[in-house]
Amino acid sequence: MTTNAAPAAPSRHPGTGNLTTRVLGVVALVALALTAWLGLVVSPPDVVQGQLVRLIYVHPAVATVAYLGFGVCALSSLAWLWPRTRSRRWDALAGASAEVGVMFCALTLATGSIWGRASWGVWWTWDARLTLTALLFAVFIGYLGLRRTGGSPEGRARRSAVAAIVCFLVVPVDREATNWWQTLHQGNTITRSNPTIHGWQLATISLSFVAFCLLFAWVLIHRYRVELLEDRYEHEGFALALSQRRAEGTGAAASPSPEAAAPAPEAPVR
Amino acid sequence: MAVDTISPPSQPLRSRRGWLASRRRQVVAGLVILAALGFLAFQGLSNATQYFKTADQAVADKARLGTSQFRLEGTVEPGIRHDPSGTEFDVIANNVSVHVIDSQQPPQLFKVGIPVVLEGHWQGSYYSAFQIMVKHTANYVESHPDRLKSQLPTTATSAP
Repeated sequence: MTTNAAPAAPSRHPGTGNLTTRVLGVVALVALALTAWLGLVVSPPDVVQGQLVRLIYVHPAVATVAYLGFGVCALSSLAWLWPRTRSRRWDALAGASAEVGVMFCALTLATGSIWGRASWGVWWTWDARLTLTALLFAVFIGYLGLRRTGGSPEGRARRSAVAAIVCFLVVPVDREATNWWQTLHQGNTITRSNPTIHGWQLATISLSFVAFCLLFAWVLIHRYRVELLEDRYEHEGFALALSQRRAEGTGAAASPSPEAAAPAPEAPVR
Repeated sequence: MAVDTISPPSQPLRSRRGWLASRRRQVVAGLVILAALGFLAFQGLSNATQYFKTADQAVADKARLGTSQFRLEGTVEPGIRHDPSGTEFDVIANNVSVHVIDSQQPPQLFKVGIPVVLEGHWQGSYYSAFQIMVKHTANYVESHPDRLKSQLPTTATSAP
């Protein structure tokens, strides 16, 4: 007798949203819409860059959020490595924030390339800021690859945590590249004692930072919960496979069948 | 009688193979990361320390630079001449001016008073460029029509 019956479908699928995330999502959407309206309609063009200035309402905020994602990843990894705070949840948060950080880093490179082509005249150049941002993107892609390698969950989490902290070292260097070296990329505009942007331009860029941070938080929470659900699915799947094997064993003892004699498939390993 | 007996691998052998496959994936991932890091670090370090030479530095190092390719930085001076073969202009940095002949069309933000980074080399007394990159500053100034209007009365009253 074989027991190939699918497990009973749960009456209600566990989701990743709740009231807080729904409110957060709506607030993020409103903030992004407001940024778009201020950036495209209200904010005037720039004396030097003309209409190209509107890219400043996306590119710096996206880059900052990428740094934020990698920062959360490094802090979560530290929390995992610290024995007193070690928990699978920190590892899940590190992985989720790295993924979101990589997504925003890719957006940074894309928007920067578009802006560069329009203002500098080239899609890409190997100056310190651009090179280090590409390096940052590459090392965190590698970090995500490392998270997918096999081994025990403990060993994988340890390797990933150490790698995340090492990868994060690129962030402050990238951030300070325009101060330390000659670059084609412009220097700091807002994060200085006397910001070199004013009026509607300053208001819009400030709002863009808030809007993209809210978007980051919303995406991160959902991705983190998906990671935890994957864990749950993995554990439940393993428990189910185990119970099926036990049932097969009981059935085989009662009435041997070719299916029961065949080698059982391995339990799925992530 | 010979019987083809291909039995499934034993459990320790299978787990050993799994371990090897996992280890192989880790090594490949590590090599890919190292290769990416190496390439990017090489590109970055070879360019980052001195991405360009300012006009005065380029003039001071002219003998050493010869006709080798380097990036030149300076602010565009008045007197840009466009013709079908390219663009001619002067760039200045720290009171040292360099005459530039460029063979390509400049980018849209190229104009007098803007800092530029050029790719090219010395060609006798001038710098032969094949690429102009506009280096806009970190300063942003709104251009709106009301600004001049609001300043006009002040200018008119303060005029002698």
